[in-house]
Amino acid sequence: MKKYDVIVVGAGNGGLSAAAYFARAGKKVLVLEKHNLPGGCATSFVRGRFEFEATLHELCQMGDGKNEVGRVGAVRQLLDGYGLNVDWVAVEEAFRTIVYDPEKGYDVTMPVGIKEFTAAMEKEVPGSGKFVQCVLEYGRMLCDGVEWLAAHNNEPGPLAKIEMLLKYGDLMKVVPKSTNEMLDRIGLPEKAKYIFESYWDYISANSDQMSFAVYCFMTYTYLTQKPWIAREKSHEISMAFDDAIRKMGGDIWYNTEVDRIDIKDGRVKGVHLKYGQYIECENVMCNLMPTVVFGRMVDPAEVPEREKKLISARIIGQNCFTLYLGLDIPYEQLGFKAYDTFVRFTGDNVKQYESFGSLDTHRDYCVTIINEVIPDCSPEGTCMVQFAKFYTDDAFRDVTEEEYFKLKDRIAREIVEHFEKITGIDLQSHIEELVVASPVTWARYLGTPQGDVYGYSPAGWDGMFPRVQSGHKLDHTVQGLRFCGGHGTQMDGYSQAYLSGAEQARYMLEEM
Amino acid sequence: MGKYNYDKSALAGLGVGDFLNEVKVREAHIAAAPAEEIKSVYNANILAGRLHPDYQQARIAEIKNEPDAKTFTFVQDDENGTGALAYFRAGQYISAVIEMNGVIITKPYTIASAPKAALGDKNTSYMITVKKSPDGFASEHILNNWKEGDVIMFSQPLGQFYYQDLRDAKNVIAAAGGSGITPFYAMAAAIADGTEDFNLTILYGSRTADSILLKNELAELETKAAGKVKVVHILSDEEKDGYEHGFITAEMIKKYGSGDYSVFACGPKAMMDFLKEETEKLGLPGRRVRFEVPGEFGNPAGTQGYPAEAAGKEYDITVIVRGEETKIKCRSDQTLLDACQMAGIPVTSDCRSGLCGWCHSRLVSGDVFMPESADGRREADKKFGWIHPCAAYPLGSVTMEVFPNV
Repeated sequence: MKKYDVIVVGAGNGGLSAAAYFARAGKKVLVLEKHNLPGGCATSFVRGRFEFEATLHELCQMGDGKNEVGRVGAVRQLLDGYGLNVDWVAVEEAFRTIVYDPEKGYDVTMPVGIKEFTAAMEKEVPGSGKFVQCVLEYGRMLCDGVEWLAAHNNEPGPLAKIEMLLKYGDLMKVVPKSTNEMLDRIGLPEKAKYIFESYWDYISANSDQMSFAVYCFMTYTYLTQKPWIAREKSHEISMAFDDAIRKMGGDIWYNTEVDRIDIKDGRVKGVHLKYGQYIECENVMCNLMPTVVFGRMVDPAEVPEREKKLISARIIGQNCFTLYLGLDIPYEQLGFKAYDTFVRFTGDNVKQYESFGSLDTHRDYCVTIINEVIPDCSPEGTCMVQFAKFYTDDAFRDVTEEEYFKLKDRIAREIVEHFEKITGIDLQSHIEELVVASPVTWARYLGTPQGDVYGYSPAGWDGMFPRVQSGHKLDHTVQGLRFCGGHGTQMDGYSQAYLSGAEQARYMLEEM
Repeated sequence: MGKYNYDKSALAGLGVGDFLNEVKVREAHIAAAPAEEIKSVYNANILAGRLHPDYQQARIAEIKNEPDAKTFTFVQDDENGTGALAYFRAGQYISAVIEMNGVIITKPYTIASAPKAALGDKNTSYMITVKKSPDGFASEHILNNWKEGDVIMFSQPLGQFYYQDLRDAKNVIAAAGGSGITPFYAMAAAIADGTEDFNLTILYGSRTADSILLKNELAELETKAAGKVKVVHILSDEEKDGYEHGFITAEMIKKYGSGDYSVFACGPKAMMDFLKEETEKLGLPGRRVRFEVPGEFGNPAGTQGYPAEAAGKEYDITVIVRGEETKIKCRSDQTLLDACQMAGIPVTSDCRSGLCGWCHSRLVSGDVFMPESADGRREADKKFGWIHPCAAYPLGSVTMEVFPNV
């Protein structure tokens, strides 16, 4: 059998990025994926005449350089560098956010662009404009700072640290501060703060726990570089990765599950495949959570003490309930306009997070309609409306086999009826296809604990900045074994997983 | 520095010390945590494993003879690692792994029994009915060989041909032919035992009264369901009192359907093709008409777009599995999946209708014909040259990479 320099376990976003990185560096790489498709979360599925996007809402840091800041996003540079053949499409709005509280409620659509976003906020919350401007100026500084750090491989040496102190001392001041604290310090009025914090569904930490720097950087990037999606759904990105990796000499085996990772004396020796084969290899990149690898794929005697402690200290991020509807009504006639909408009972995401822990208290969801961006993403006369609810805990902990299907139906119905109630739109007379994916479904496809889709909560001590600074050496405990993906140093999300794959591949190459 | 125009007073009292300490703080958190056993499996993971097992081993506990068919009752096979069969939705199918003359093929069969029979940890069972079909090697093999005590391997329950109350009308008219009764039998059983709640009128087409499958059992379910299930037998080759005569037509459906209703259809391919035309006459919106996946497309010759000169030939196929090449042959009227499986290459497959995507494979070179009605690929698959070999026919020499899971 062919000898491989490195094996990538899992063809999710992180694994694909790492594999492409290795292949481009001239290494012989083999990707082993237990499913029949690449991408992990980044996939699509066909039902009747619809092809549904499984998970992608929007990619971040994807600017094409034709935006107001003229910046080509870091993720765009990375993916272009791999030679991915993807038809990227920009989303021309930030988000729509609906709070259905009868007294403090609002329904606002926020545009992209600094000026436009600021003006829209000023209009909705008079007097807030100058504060929003200030927040986004912080965002500009943070964006420059993050780029500066990336140019120093996130590990500035002693001299560069002094330069950083001089240039980005303010970044260093705000990184450890929570989003809520900094927005209050800046003086953003409460309602504007709530609107600004709408993206919270996508991050498994509330705004008392989330670094202002990370949240503000993300928002600024979306506003200046726009959110992006792929014309043929995220499956196009995953298939483009498959194509690029093969063209650079890599191999990918689907339906090939890795059962055990062979570690002896703190050093990787190879992998055991589920169907029996053993492949020798001294370098294994896992696009799996360390919880899964150290919990069930490694000889318990070889699990480092630090990993046990780290895993028990961390909090599983979020799991997710998604509902996909194929409707036999054209988007223009639906009566609801927006690509990505956050529907919430309160703008206060700390309260929201308290309610996200269980099936009984969780009330909120987001809505995505790709037709807004790509009108012909579904057949003529139809549109696709997708809902996602994120749970912060093991929400399905008590669900039995017997009640499972009924529960899925119940939650789906609750979402549909609630959306109908607050918008006055009739969905039920138009449902041609309906698919539900619960945390159990995600557990099945991703194999993550609880069906987690966001890795570990990036709250407080385990936020992005300390993770990034630990990702090279401190969190590397077994020789020849590294981890990448949405649970990685860069946090959850497609873009972050791609960056994480590249980052960890770069570190591994140093050791090969 | 003046480079950024933000209000510095928001930074009052903040230093860089916390930033420089972040890694230390993180390390302290880790050091303070207990080095306990790692928990990676939660209830959602356990449920996922129970509902979606990689494989199920089931033993034949009982065989009942039907007209030109047999009904097999399977029970969990603990000895071979299946402690309980997976729960499912009435209407779903399982794919059987059939060893036949030294080759392994897969065939989908609807679970006819009630989901409740598969619930729990003990005494779980599935029932499937296999009918002799004119060119069905697999059905003939099963009817001749499967005997009580045999252990058969199945996939997890699959398919989307089940009732969803948020989508479907409360009244469902089922159009069934031959062994296509099985999903509706399961639905009727689920209604009778309270698992499902909708009104089901089954229009069941058979050739003669004697050839009706599960006839008495259907009558029993009708009684048990107390008005929610109605069975109407339609005989094509016989006129008899108490039976409708002819085919399941738009007229027939209209006779039994009133108000808002959904039509669900399952039966042999010829009947499904006929029903497609009939249901169109009803003028129902597309969401009110659902067809079970049709099964194998069959000989593509004569299909629109099929090049006439390709018919009646045999081509060289190079199949790559994990870097190893195998040369096989494939007739032009044979699917690439069939050729692989017949040559002993166990390509994964479930629906065999071009739709589920489980056989997703890479076309390295060569041309194939994929009938439009059986092309369930994702758009990006087309862009990057991937195919579903269960509904792809060679038009010349072909090289493809496939991904068996064994």
